[in-house]
Amino acid sequence: MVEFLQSIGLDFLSVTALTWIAAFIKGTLILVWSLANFGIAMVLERKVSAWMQNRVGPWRSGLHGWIQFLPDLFKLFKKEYIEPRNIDKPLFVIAPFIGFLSACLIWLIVPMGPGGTAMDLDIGIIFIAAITGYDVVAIFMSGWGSNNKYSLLGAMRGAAQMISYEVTLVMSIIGVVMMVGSLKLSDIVQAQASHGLLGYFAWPQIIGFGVYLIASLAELNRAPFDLAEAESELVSGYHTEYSGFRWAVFALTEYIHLVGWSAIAASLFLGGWHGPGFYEVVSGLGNLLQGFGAFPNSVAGAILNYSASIEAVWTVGWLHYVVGLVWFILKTYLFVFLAMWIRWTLPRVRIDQLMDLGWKFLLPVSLFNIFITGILRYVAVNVTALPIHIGSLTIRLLGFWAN
Amino acid sequence: MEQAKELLINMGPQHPSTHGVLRLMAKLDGETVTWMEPDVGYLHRCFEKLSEKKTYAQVIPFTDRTDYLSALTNEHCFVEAVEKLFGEQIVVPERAQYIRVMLMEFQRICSHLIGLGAGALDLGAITPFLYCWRDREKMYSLLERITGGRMLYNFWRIGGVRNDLPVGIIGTPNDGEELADKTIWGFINYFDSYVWPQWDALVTQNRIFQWRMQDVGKLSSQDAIAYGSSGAVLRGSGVNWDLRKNLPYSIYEKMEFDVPLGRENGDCYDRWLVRMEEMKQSSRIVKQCLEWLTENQTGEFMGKTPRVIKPPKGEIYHRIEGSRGEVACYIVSDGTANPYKVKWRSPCFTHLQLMPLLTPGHKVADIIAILGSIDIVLGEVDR
Amino acid sequence: MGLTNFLGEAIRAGKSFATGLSITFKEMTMRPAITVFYPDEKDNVPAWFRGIPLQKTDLKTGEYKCTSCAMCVEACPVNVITLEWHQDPVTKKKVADRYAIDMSRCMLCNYCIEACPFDSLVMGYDYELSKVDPENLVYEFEDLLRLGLKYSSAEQPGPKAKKNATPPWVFHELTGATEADIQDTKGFLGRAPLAKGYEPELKPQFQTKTEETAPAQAEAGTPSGEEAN
Repeated sequence: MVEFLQSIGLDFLSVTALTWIAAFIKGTLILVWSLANFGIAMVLERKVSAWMQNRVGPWRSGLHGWIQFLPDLFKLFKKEYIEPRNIDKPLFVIAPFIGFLSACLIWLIVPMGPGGTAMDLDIGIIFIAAITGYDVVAIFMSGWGSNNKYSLLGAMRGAAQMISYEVTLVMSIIGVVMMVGSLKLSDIVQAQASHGLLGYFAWPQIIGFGVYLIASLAELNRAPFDLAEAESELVSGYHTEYSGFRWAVFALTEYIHLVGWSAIAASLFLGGWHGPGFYEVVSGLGNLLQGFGAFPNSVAGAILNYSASIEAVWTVGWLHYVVGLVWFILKTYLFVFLAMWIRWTLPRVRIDQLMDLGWKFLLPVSLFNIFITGILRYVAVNVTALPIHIGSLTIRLLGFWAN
Repeated sequence: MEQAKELLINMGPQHPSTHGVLRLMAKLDGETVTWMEPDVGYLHRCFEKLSEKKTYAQVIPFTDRTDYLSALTNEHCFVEAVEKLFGEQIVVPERAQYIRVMLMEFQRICSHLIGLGAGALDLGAITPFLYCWRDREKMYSLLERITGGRMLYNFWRIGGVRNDLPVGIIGTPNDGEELADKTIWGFINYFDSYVWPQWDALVTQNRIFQWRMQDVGKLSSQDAIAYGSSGAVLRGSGVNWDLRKNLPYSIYEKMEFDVPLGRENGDCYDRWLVRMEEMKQSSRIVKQCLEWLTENQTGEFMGKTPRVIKPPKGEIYHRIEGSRGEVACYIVSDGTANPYKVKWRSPCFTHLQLMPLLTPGHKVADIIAILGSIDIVLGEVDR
Repeated sequence: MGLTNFLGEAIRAGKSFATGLSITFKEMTMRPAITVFYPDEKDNVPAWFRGIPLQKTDLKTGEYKCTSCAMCVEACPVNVITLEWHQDPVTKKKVADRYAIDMSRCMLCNYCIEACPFDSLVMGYDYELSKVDPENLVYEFEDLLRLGLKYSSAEQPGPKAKKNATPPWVFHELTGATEADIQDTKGFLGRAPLAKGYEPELKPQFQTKTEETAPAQAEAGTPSGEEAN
């Protein structure tokens, strides 16, 4: 970003100043992007729930209800802030904004296209784990500050749930990290580029993928794990006492979080911005025909040659960026839809069942996944020197290429 | 320094899942309930006292409003009690009996649907609840065409029913889903082929749902009898007691149906299964009535009654199997046009007493599951 | 054993979730929405629908059919019908001074319609009865007559009346009703907002007669509907 600013004629400024300007621009972009995604996801949620329940959902406010979030936000913005007696006011007021901050910070490291990362941190995965901690703080602050027993119960549940599932969540990602050997998200996305649709880590890491989906739902406080705000038990859980725009910020947090986690899932397991475009399909076909390098033959060779010839157009030119962004958004919203689909189908679990699921089922499974990934990865790397045999082929088909 | 170990929380009267205006006080140790007490009376409408100032016919609309989700069974309880008070003087025509039984069983499906739907909603499943709402609207459209009212019907009259069935409401046994809100056959076929299997697959067989319901709120048969429970709560605990079989009233002797039973130590899931199965049995009874009504297209629907309803002096206690359990009314007549005393026995009030027995030791979330599984209507609890 | 339970439970749970998800997906994709866009379109009400009790008019003579017999007042379980009447000294007929139904308490039980021996009351199909002020929910006789015009069309207008002419209603000046009220073109039901502390004022047609026989009639001849019950 700094180089880009220098190249457009701002090189008379010092690098420090340019860094600040770049940071400001990036921050604004992330905020705008988050809010846009909030609008889409919120209306989508209401529409999806309506479709599943044979309704039409929001319909009156413009474009068949697809801009419903604007009147909603406006209404909440002009509403009165109701403050109960004896609240811990600083906590009560700051809490929603801390949650909002943590939701937006996820977008810092999400690679939205080739080079399209705000901060391509080397410790991306660890950053995610750190950021999630913020949300626990926000929920606990709001529940503690509200002077309400329901809020307190919701906050306790939320804190216990999110801390438990954070462990599982990180463990489920470790498998992917082992596949790549890097914590950087852009590296992880790049590692999935080579084999098109079949190169996604969703295949070799299918266990980790499943665990990630469940754990991220729990981390997001979404049904069937929405215990912190279980509306039939705790009225609204930790945000029972909130009203007006402070409540709206909680809603913003929820949906930005949802889209953020979906984006990370898309990057980690579905190849991020690498879509099965024309080039990927052709090269994938060629790879499939030659058994992923196991049985080189002339037809596959011809196809691979052709794919190499068009590689420049599809992987370097401007088309690359547009297609990448489109694929990234599509994959993200696939997960968003999945979360909504699950939310509107399944009932809520109980707190002890949630803990059982987290500690007794998902954590052992994710540890098993790490173990099995380690073995297969070791075999895939070390066995390529041996002659091709059926075991090696199976491992390759499972997605563990030696690269 | 002594520390408070228990947290007293107050669920209701304004709470999303108390099925009306009910206040549940619960002491919590962490998330576990140690003590619980329901506090009723927020919906008291003076039904029993009010009835003493009304004529017998004027009481019928009030009975609708006790258990408003199953209004027709309440009407039947009161009307049949008055008819019994008259003895041989009032003979209800057979056609009216069939219409009554058909509508009561129809109403039972309707009431169980909403009871189960609300139970599922309490566990966080919103979509099944709206499916139940969708199907219940179809039933209400049918009942509206027959009785004129959508929820509160005032359809029973002392000696019969208000009007005959509208032309074409019965339909034919081949009517499918597209006629579900046009003919009763259409709805029953739609219910058997679509609604029930969908509920079974979407909710009953769902593992999360089973985790939530199984081993929660266990009620032994002895306790169920001792607490005076009835209906699906009693049968969910394995006690074979159904007034339609044991003390048949109206024309239930002629009907073929089974009484589903739960296990000896019935939990919430047993009660749920009993209700699911009862809906099926109700649809069987409706079908038998429909066959009879198709064979006998016309007939008297109102018996001969005195112009002014003045039952002879006496008293009567009449009980029937309502949707939620044993609905009964006790009428004392002093020979005038107004009842001297009307006492209403509501199953929900009796069942609500089970809450302090069932909840301690469970989690907060289970309070809601248990409350949903005993399926109360607050209008009937407070009357 | 533990592992078998563990995996069996996972498989069973996964299977049931997949079933549930497939059901909701089918409902989403295969089934149309059942929503009725309510204020824009309304469902038809069935023939016996009970909306609001209204007074019918005999379109042949243009006179209202109510004879102030108070049967409806007696039948009403919740005492919402107020009836005040006096006896016409010339014809010895009862004349209604005030007939009002308090729709804020009416429970639409249909008993008044069944009790009416002169087929004067009818259950209207209108159900949008909400008002800002509860006072507006007290429907006076002229309101009931005006709204009841829609349901009075069973009897043919007199043979001499032109097809599109306004029937010579006796209460035409009383209510200001026009042909449009029968059609209810605006879809608007009920009375216009009343001022706070509104007291129903007797219309001149009724007033002249009461004033003539003022003191005696007021005591002897006008028992209110509430007392009659």
